[in-house]
Amino acid sequence: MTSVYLDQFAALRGQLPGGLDALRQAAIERFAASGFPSQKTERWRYTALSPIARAGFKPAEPEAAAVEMPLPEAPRAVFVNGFFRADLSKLSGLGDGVSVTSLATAWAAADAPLRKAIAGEDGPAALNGALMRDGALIRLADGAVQERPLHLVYLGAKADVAQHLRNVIITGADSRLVLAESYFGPDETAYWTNAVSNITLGKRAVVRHVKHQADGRAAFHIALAEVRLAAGARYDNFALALGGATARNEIKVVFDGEGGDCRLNGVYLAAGAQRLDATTVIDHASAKCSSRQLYKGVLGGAAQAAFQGGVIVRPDAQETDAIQANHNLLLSRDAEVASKPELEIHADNVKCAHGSTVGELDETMLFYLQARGLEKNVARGLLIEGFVAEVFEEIADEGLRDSLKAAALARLPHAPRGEQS
Amino acid sequence: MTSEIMLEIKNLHASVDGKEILKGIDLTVRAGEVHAIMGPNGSGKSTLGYVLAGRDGYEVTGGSVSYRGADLLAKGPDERARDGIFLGFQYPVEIPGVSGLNFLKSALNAVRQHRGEAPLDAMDFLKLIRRKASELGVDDALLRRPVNVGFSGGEKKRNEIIQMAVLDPYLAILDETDSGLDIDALKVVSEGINRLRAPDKAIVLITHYQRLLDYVVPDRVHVLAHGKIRKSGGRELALELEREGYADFGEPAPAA
Amino acid sequence: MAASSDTQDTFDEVTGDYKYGFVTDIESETAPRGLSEDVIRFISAKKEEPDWLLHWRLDAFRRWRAAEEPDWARVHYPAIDFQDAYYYAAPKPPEDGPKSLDEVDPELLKTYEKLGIPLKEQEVLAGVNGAPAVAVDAVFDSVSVATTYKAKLEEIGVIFCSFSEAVKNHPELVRKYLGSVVPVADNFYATLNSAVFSDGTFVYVPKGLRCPMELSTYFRINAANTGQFERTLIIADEGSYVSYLEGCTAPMRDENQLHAAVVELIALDDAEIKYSTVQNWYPGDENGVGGIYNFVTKRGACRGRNSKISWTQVETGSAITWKYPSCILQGDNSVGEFYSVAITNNYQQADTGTKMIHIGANTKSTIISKGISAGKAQNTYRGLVRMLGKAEGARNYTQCDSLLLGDKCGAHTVPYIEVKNPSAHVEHEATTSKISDDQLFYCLQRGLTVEEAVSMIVNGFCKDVMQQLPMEFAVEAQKLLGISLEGSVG
Repeated sequence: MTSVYLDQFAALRGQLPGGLDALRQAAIERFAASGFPSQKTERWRYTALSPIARAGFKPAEPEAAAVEMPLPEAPRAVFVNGFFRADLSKLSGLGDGVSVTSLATAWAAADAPLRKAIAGEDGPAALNGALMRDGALIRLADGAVQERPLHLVYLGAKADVAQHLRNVIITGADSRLVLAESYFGPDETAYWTNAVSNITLGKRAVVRHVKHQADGRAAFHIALAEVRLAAGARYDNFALALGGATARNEIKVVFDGEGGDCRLNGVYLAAGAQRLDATTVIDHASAKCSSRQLYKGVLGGAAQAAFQGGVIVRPDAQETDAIQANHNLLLSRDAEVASKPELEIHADNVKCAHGSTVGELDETMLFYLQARGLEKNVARGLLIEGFVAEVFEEIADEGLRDSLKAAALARLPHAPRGEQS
Repeated sequence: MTSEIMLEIKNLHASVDGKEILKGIDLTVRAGEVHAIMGPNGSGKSTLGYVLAGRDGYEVTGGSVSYRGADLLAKGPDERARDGIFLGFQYPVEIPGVSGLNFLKSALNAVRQHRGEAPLDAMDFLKLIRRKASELGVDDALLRRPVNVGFSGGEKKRNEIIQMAVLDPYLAILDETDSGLDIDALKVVSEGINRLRAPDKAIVLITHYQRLLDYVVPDRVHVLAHGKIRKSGGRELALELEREGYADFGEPAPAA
Repeated sequence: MAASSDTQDTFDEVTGDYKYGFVTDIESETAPRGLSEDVIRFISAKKEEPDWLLHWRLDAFRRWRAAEEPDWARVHYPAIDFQDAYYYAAPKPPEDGPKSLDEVDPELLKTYEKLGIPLKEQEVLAGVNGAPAVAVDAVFDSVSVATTYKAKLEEIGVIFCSFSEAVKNHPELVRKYLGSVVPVADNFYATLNSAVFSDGTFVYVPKGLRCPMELSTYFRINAANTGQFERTLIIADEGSYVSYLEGCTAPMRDENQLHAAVVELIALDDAEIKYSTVQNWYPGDENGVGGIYNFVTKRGACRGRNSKISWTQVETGSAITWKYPSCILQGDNSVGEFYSVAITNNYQQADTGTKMIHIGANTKSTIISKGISAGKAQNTYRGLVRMLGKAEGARNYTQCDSLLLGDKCGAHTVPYIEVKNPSAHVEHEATTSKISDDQLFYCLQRGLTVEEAVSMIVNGFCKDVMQQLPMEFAVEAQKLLGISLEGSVG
């Protein structure tokens, strides 16, 4: 079912920006070879790509219309329909050595990392490599610091289009970055966000990355973040998945040097007929690295969600410390959840563990709250809030933590609105 | 008649992770004696215990140790144990699924075999356990649980002492066996140590506080600070240390 | 620090030089080499099977021809040439056939003695200290040789015989249940087995009867290039209980030998089946040459309310192990259990685990899996816990622990948890580690050698599973792991 997309590429060949024709050609060939992975492929077992394959979303065009919704504080880069909007963005007050530009204006600067990344991509990511038009290019020089959250806002606007977004983030040694990525779109519009982020951390760099996925309820959100850590670097990622008819958030982390640390946290809230999928792989390719994963999901309606966590420990990655946890709450009869935390371990001097639970609200706790005068729905709401609250504590920046938590609570069933616990 | 020299340490240097911890220890312990090694934290007390027991990662970089007239350092840890050296650990490790009885019986029979004695069968072993437990005033129920799993600090130390009583070593090195114990546990531990005292046995107590020494009166007391024994004396030295602390031993002597 | 070579050497001691490597020299009556409809007809004719069974086999064979070998397991092996093997071998009986044990080929009896199998009734009675009697159905190269205690069991209504006999004497039972738990098309190897199965065990326990003795079968592959395609069917009628033991050994061979058995268990209302396995098939030599391929499909159907099926296995052999003893928890309140110790060393590969499918309400499953990996081996736990829509109040608890001995082996955990009912609870935990230096030193300081320490710690690691084994298996499991003292003290 790739022909529609192959035709799109053929029609656009030579007109796609960046002087990256050879690169794009390589990407489209990889896509042609792999196609859209079917659900028979292990890693895609729980994600149905056939609706996207069938829909043939056209490549989006720049959209100049005004935007109603409130935008976050500066510094922010705003993209509409997959294209940078200078008029909506505000890139003042960036730290020294911190550079943020639209990728469309700086392909050459991203050439080397793009080449390297695309060589290993296939499926939707490879299609992105062929059709990418814009995204954020963020570079931090050695020692540069951006503690004030840098916001990247992606607004889906038009129906039946695909925004192939490519972000390239390169941080130098000892640099620090706080990044907040968010996706929004109208609920009635069917569009496809195909986002790929290539993130490289220099030695001892620290990146705290938060992602708020609130694409429209009829949209498709397929995202891949490929992260490489040099020695001693630290990458924290928090992913909140709220939107999309089908949404997949995939994070691949590779420890390229010793002593790295990675935390992947996430909350997914699925309702109605949503299909949400959180997939992670942390590759301990070097010794003495540690990783933690904590993902929690709450499902209602007839939604389906899946957590596929992976940890690979290579033969010489001694003194690895890796823990994964996934906990799920099912609130309705028709919801369905799958959890597959995987460990592949080839070194022996390691500490690896994972835990996974699926359950419902504790009857005893519910009764306790009701016995203290809380109405049943309110009690349920409090317990569900409590269930996910723990994960939000992993977000270091208070402002980001509060805003993401509020967004999540607003989506929870029975959640008492406007009440603070 | 002077008694046999149980342990002779000469100018012992040892390093851990490339860092020198023991900087020239000299110590002679004779059979029948109880020695106390005291000192500030980080002085190398536990390191001395591990080096004598032969723990991996503790590298002897100089000096010699002889045990009952033979070179100790040439032997592996289990051989030293079968020769009659017992180390009471400061932080005994958990061994899930392995019952204390099973563990102790295997260890005891390994020691017996080494001594040319017949191994104990199940019945005789149980009898031995019951006898030792009652002598020490402890409940042998501790031994039916997996080794140290979920044990409180006091239970772990009691367990070490029961093991010591059953294995009946010639040289017992007890590393902070009294730390964190309440009075009852301390009494059990002291009872066990005192019962071991014999003309053909020696005991080395490694301790930070002098409290244990009220119950187990040492013949000699040494102060180990910054990797060397700085002062030795009789029992009174312990009392002096209790009054004055280790401040006098805070700074290493300037290089001569 | 990676494990010292001491620990590796120790581990070799524990798994040991293969003790059961010898060959019995007996003339075999074998089928022509290779696999074709003719061979299937040969097998069916040799066993004097009724037409319905021949057709069942042929149907399976045709499906198999069209089927594809699965490749998703984490095991690698050279392609199997299915035409390069004999699919049927039986020891030649003397002209008048054995009327009693005394007439069974003495070479055969010697084989069983070497294996420590108490074939003679007196030996069985004298056998294990005070243990209940064990009825042995000995299988030698695809044909059941003798069945002890058969008469005694028959008196109380228990049918315990070879599969071939069951086809002759209890066809209605076989026909009713054969293929009902593992359908012919279930998977490649089950389909193959359905076509060429030679023999196995059949057990039927009547209503309300608690089978008074452990039932057991020993397997042995003897002639070179004969695949072992056992078919076992155990039916526990309402309110009954049976405990079944399966233990296997095989001689040293260079050619890989395929073992593709199918085991189907059916437990009706209030019935319980306990199935224990100690698997010690030849694992290949230290360079990974030879060894048995153990591709087995084992499945239990808890058909009835309050029924229970419990799998306990200690797997130490085979070059390649691919098996997932599973439970279909259909009846309300039914219980499925899986206890497993899997050891892999040298170049062994194992991809094993279980599937617990919860269909009925208040169904419960427990999975305890202990994997030990050493040498250059790869050991994968693959488990599926699925709670379907009607599994109200269902519960699963899973604990998978892996122990790595040495830094050249791998231990992998691949759990699939799929839940479709909000009142179902699943709790899964897994850990992977090596024997800590602290634990090792503690044992050494108490006088144990490294071998003794590793053996003891490994035993402790596996204790939760070993405790599930029936007493009769204690001896064999002990040889394999070094069983703990506690069973006989206090």
